[in-house]
Amino acid sequence: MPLSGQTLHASPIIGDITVHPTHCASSPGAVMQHERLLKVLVIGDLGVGVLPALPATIGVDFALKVLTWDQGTVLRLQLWDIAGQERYGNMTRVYYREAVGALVVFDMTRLSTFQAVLKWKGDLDSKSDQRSQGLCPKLPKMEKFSREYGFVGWYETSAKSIMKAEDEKASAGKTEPEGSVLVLPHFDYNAKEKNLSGCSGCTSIKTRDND
Amino acid sequence: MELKGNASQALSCDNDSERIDPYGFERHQDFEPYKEMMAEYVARYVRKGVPNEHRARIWMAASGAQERLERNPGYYQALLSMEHDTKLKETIHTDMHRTFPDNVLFQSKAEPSLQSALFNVLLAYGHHNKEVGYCQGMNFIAGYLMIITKNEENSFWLMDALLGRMLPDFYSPAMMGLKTDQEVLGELVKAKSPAVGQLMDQYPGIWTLVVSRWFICLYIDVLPIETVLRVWDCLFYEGSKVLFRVALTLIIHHQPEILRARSLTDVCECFKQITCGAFTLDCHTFMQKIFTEPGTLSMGTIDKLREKCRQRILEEESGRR
Repeated sequence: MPLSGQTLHASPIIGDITVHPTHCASSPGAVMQHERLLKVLVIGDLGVGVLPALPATIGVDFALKVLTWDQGTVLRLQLWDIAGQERYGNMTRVYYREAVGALVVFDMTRLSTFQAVLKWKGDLDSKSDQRSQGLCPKLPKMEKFSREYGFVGWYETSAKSIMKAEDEKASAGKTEPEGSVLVLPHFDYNAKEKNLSGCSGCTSIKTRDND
Repeated sequence: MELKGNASQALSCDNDSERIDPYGFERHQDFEPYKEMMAEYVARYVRKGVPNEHRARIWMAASGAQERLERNPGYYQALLSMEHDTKLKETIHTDMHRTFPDNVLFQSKAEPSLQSALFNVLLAYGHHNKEVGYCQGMNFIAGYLMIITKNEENSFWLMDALLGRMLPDFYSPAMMGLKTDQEVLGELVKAKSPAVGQLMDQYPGIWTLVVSRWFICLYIDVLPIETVLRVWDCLFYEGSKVLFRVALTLIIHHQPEILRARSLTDVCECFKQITCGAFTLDCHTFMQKIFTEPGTLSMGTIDKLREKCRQRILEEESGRR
């Protein structure tokens, strides 16, 4: 089940990399000394699944992407596609465990999937461990990583902060497509909130209530 | 050949007119054993496969869908002409282009396009069963029903039989029926193939991962279409037990391969592999296997396991909150 790099930017992605310090586990039985298994979740609302094998992921599925990071390191990226209807989400939350990151995805043609982004984020937050130890020294250089492998962007967020989610809202809100023309944006996560009056849906998104 | 109501009588034998046999004689009081014998007899035929041209009619009769249809004339049309929930409509619409996109009948340009019929059936069902509404996976089931029956109303009532009566709570928001049956399968595997059961025990939550698609899609796009239809023949006639038989057969038959798995990824990959190939393609042999390979599987056992697993899930869920 090959997952090509292209698949990832077929859907707009907000990189929501949560960092858990202890889980850069070597995959068991690895032949190379520097093989790293990273579990990354792909979550989001109905119909934005990004795995190519199936027209729509039912329940949960995952794909493995092997990346040669540098001469001595091979990254085995285990992408867990949990994007789907909420009722499946209730069933598949057990797979959040031991993930080192998550991509919250939405469909730029459907506002409702964007409106759900904060819900999924809240879900992540409620399930993720508190960052009690230092950052994992084995984490790749994110800027370089996302540039080289064609990710739209990345940023770090603490599990309990919704500040960045506000930024997502701003950057994505700007690019809310008119009509059916879609342009994949180059997200600028440092952008300040601009005029949102043109997007009725975004203004209706409230910050997450306490779980 | 006009079968309609007669088929349901011949198959289920629960009608009042059954006091009189097809030859005009009044039946004896020991009709019950006869009925049981007939049910066995018909089951044997159904297991050998319903000819495709009779499938729609047999499924309708065996599942009770025909009876419901006749008792509720105009109901389907009424559901279609009522005012529709916008959210539901949108949700169903999203999955339209992803339902059998490679099938010529489902292309939006096809004449007539099964896509619009599919949309209608799902929309009507969502309003008929508001608790379930629309759940991903139902699109594939309704799609297959349309392919076979070529009739929206019949497909609707077959959906009603499947989702409402035969697989209760599979597709509702809590998906309790599905979760339960996944765990039940886990228990059955422990009993029938302890080694695989032990392997799977190492990976919590793995049953959802490997079999939710099997159960939710009733093996659509998991097994070859001819095999799926043969399984459905039995599903409509004998009930959801056959879903376990299929899963158990796949697992027991491929035990050596599964036991070679050394990681979660291996297990998942293996569970994808075991549904492919000659074993499932040869639907005739496969259907024989599902009634022999897993051994006895009584409804009593399944009911007990369902109760046990249901309790366990409820406890786990309340503990998590």
